[in-house]
Amino acid sequence: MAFFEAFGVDFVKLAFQVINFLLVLYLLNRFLFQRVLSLIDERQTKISKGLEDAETAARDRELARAEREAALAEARTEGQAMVARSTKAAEAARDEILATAKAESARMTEQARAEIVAERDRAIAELRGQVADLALDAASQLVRSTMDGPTQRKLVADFLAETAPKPGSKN
Amino acid sequence: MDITTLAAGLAMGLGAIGPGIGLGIGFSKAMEAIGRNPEASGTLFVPYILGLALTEAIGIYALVVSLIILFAA
Amino acid sequence: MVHVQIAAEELFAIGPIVITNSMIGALLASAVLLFAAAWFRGASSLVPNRRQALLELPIEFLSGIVRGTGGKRWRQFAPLVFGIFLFILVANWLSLFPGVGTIGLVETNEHGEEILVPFVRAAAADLNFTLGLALISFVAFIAFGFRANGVRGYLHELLIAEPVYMTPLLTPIHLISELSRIISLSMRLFGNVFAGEVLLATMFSLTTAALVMLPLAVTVPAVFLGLEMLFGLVQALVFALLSMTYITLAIAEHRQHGSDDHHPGSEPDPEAALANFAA
Repeated sequence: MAFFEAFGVDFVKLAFQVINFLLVLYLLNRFLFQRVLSLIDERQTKISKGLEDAETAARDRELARAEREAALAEARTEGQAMVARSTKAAEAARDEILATAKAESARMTEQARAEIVAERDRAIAELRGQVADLALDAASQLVRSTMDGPTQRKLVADFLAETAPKPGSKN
Repeated sequence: MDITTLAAGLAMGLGAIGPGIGLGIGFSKAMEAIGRNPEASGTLFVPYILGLALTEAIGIYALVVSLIILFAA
Repeated sequence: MVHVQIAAEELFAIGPIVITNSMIGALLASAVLLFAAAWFRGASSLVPNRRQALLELPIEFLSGIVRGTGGKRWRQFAPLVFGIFLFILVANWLSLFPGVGTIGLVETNEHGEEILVPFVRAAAADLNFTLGLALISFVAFIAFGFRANGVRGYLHELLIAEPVYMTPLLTPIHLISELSRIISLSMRLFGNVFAGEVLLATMFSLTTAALVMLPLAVTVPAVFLGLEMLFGLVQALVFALLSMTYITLAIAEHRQHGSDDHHPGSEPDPEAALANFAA
């Protein structure tokens, strides 16, 4: 064909170009294209895996943080509870000690007062007896002859009751 | 200067009119589209290049014809 | 006047194989790619350094596109897309190096004119190269169509139109549109690169003539060199993406029932819809 002849096309040259291209294509495909495609794939999986890993790590970190915070909060409340409990216990102990001390002192005061009163009463009674005896002795020695027993004794007792001091005004 | 030289020149010159107008229209429409929606430039690229190539092919045919007139006829 | 040679020049012959200067360009591109692959094989690691990232960048970029449009079988044809892209890209960019197309031997042709035969020519400025790639792409999408839908299913889809009585009218159109993909793919790349080379040669010769009066004219070809870098990239991308789209369409062919050129709903990819317009 004149058309192809004018452009310098002939079968051998065409075949040379086709074979050359197919050879180059084969070698490029073997050593470049497949390798690049697999590299791209590998990179893609690696990047997505890396992203996933980072996400898990972030989630783990978040979890750990929450855990730590929860533990901290728990410890804090526990400590507060402990402080409150011990404060309460101490207060109770103080109250108890105070109450006991108060009761003890009150009891001791009461006892002491009772002892004093008893002592005084006893002393008064003793004194009264002695005074009466003394007065009787004295009076009987004075008026032994004129006065007989019961009437005189009654008189002295009346007198003494009038002059006896009120209990508690002395001491 | 014979008539074949004139014929080759006319073939190329007249044959370049149509593709020239066509390429201009295609290019202007593509620019318009990108102006309206710049994100679409990626998707426009391949059809745009192919469209330009197909339009330009007409001009190339004119070139081939004029080459044939000059060297092969 | 710039000398334009539409066919690759023949340099020498090894047995029955005539070596042209565009074959040298293709071999250089192959060598660069294989060197890169060998380096990558030894030096790559999961954590890339800058050089490795540079090599991975186009593959990663394309694999994103292929994954997005190629469906379940994307891994089967992704290497073809990567290979087409990298090979064309490297070949195109190598052709911008100084010396490509400019260093060579001066010979006299059959008309008695003295012409320069460069040692290296841009690989894609030779129809053999682009036609070869287009044929590989064609065979690949037919093969993937067979594999996905079965030989009978694919041929049925290809040869029998949806309303059966329309078959005599539609089938030739369908066949021609499939076959013309070879021509359109190869001619697009060839035309772009060849025209780019001619453009650069023209710019260089114009500015060289003007250099005595206007020293700043040396910056003019630089602009076009930059443009050619961009076009080299775009053409490599276009070839790779169109191949990918053809394969995707061939795999998804059976889903086209009930619609002629568009398939609403079932395949929302704009590329797939676009590729139906592909000549």
